[in-house]
Amino acid sequence: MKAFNHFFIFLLCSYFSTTLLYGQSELTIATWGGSYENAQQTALFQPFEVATGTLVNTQKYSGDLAILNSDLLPDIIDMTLGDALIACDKKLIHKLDYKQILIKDKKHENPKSDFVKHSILPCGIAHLSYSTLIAYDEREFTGEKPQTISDFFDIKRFPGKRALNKSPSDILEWALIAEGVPIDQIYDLLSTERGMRIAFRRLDSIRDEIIWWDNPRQAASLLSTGKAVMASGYNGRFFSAQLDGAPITMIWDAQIIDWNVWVIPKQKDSNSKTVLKNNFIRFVIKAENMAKLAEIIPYGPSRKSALRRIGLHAEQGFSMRDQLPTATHHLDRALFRDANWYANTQNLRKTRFWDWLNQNKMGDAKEDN
Amino acid sequence: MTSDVTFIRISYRIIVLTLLALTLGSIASLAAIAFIEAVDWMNDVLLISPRSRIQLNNPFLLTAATVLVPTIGGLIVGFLIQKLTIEKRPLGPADAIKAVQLRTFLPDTRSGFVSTLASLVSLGSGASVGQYGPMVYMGAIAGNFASRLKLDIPNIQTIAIACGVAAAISTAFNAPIAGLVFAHEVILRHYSLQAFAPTTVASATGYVFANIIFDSPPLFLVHFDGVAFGYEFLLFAILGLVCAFLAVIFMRLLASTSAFSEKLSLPTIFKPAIAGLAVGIIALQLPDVLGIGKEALRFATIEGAFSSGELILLLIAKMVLTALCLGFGFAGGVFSPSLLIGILFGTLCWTLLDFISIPNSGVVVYAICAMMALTSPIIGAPLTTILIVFELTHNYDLTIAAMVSVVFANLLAYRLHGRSIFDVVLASKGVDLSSGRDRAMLENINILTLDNTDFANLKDTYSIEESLIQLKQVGRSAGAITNHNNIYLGVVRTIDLIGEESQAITNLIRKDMPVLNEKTSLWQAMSALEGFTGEAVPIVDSSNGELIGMVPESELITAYQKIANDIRDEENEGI
Repeated sequence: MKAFNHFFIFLLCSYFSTTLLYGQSELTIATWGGSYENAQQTALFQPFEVATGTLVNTQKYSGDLAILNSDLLPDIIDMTLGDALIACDKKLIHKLDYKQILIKDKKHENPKSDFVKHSILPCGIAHLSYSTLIAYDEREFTGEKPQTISDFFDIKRFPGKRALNKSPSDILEWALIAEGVPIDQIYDLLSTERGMRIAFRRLDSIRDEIIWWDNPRQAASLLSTGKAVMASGYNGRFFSAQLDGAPITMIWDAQIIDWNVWVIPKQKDSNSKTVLKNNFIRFVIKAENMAKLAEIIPYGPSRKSALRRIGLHAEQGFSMRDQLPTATHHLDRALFRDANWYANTQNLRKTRFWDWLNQNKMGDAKEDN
Repeated sequence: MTSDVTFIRISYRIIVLTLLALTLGSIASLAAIAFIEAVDWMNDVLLISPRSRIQLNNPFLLTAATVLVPTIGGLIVGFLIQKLTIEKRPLGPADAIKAVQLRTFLPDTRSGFVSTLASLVSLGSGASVGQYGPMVYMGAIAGNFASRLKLDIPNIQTIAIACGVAAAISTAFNAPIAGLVFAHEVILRHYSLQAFAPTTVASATGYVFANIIFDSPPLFLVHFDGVAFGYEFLLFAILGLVCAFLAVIFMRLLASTSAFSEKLSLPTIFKPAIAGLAVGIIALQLPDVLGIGKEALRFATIEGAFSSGELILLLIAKMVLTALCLGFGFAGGVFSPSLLIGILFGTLCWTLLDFISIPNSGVVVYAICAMMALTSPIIGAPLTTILIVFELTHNYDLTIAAMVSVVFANLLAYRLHGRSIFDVVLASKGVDLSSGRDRAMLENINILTLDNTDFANLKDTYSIEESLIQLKQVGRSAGAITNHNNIYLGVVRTIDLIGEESQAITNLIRKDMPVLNEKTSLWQAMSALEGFTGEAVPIVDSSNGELIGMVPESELITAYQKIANDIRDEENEGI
């Protein structure tokens, strides 16, 4: 109780100090829009506003490091782990002051131990796991349903357009898994020239059927509007689309699990602003808030105590724990993304990917976009 | 009362052997896992693994590391082996086989550990050598330790080494049955109930560690739907025969590189570094040659991953570099390179088959068949390799296909070269196991180890009378005659002296007497004594002709019988 009181007084002080100095304080959070952002608004941002009186603005972000060099630098970014590692390496984001962020409380004498392994990073804190996977339009496959990643690449048995993220993420792994490479060996093999070659060869086999998307929101809508029969996307967004009545099913085979990380871009800050940013992160990584988010959208919190708190979906009434990417029945054929590998091979993958795309353009004018 | 004692003794043996097998299984298995982890870690840190290489965005550093890491690794290995081991060579499965077959000791423990460390450095720095040999030897070291305990169990050394080796193979391949069979097929070379139970327990323990506790990823996972055409079994047999030729070429290459290296007038300590430099330079163009080549092994079963040209190039490079690395003194085995060479060759053969449009069941089965058909005659373990396929793939069709190839490969390679590379290596060191274990054991015993002091030494100056008195005193019916320089002149028998008092003793020397020397083995002595009826045989120094002593025939027969009994007991002991 004492600790809570201290914390409360601390929050009040920081609130008053910032409001007194600047009037209404504000924070701009760069995040991913759509159903994910809506869930964050409900579970995290609005409660933070109520608790501190700070106004939380959001800025659209779709995973490009260019945001760190833009004029409109947000206060906090919800970044993928791979990007966070690169940004940290390039010193574009702050090292986190964990003395301010991880506060001991009654239940957690050592809050670090409450987080899953490797989620406390020098420049950011991994707060949730999400899955990138393939979903398909039920209306298109009334007979046999696609069930594996190999089916995604099988345009004879499962004809139709495939919507994919226009980036060298995920697709290379999937292409190799479809070649029969065991999930454990994906990054080992993708690290060789031969592995890359085979992956692109596999992509070649479906090149005429690919529709590229840039914004994660498009994935589900391409399916529901019938423009694509299968699409890659994030499990939370597909889940939300399902709740909205879209007839889509997720293929958990070869799902790729990755983390989202809270980071603070480097910029000149007043002390009070720094305190406010730390307060925000401290607020959103509280176990009860993480659990609340996971009850709206099925992304797995990085705190063990938060995982234990996840209950039922507010409207639908089913257990949200079973919907998480890390639910045991989803893990049989899950690939955990090697974020370091991603960070260190980003340039190479981009070069290879764009070369391949341009080859496509030169060789075949039918590219869909 | 007697049955009570027997019951207690047997219960004691069962309990002790079970505990011993569990302990050895755990130790050998943990050692094997630690070894694999350490190699992987070193490969990552030293920029050998593709996964670490691709993440280094510094071409200069990458080039430097590619050339320097194997070279410096070679220098370290040279130093370790030449300065810190007594044997001055890396130790491996052949030494374990020798110790078990001849019932002798392993080379000293320090050499064993240093040799293991040297193989860790070799593999860690990307030398083209295998990892299973060192793991088998670690299992043997563990077994050897156990055999020094005073447990009062017959054949404990043999059983303990077999247990350690079984657990190592079981862990390495996630294949407990293969581990058990390997210990019997390669190390014990016979089947005995006494060793069977403990090696099974040790092998299962290794499997539990590898599969359940540490959840190590399998060596390869392949998908195979079955053999589509009956005539393919004929193709598998032919593939086996062709693989036998390649296996023999590879083994001859290994032997001739070793011979070449020995002739090379260069300090032995620097030789591994030369091989390392060669690996590094070739790896600049062909990074697949670095290390064990897990990635290439995996790619070989993916259709179209390699072009035929790439396959041939990598095949030759891997064979030459492995021969160079092992011949020039890197520490490591031949098992993993053989697997890689075999699988590449299988893929090449399938490419040819596909090219001439013979309908077939796909690349996987040909790759796996050739992998095992090439490896099996090299390590002399047909059953083990068949079982490895079965346990790794859980695929019955694939196992049957591999079995056909393996059997034919072994038949032919045995005729062309010998049972295994280990046997050939041992034979070159005077341990010939090809004519049976009894002969090898007899060959391994020098007659000087038998008592040769109890005999009558007669001087050529003695009169017949003096000689007879001397013979009577010693209680012998024959004696050896020497001159004043102790030079051996011959043997005389009491029966020939009686009634010949007027003769000079040198005139009565028997002509048909076999003579042994200080190098004679028990086997040679037994052969020399065929048809001989006498009491004792003289041993004469081959360098100066001096008499060393006389070994009584009864000593020879006792020693021979002891070995025969030991072998019989070991191979027929129940528990």
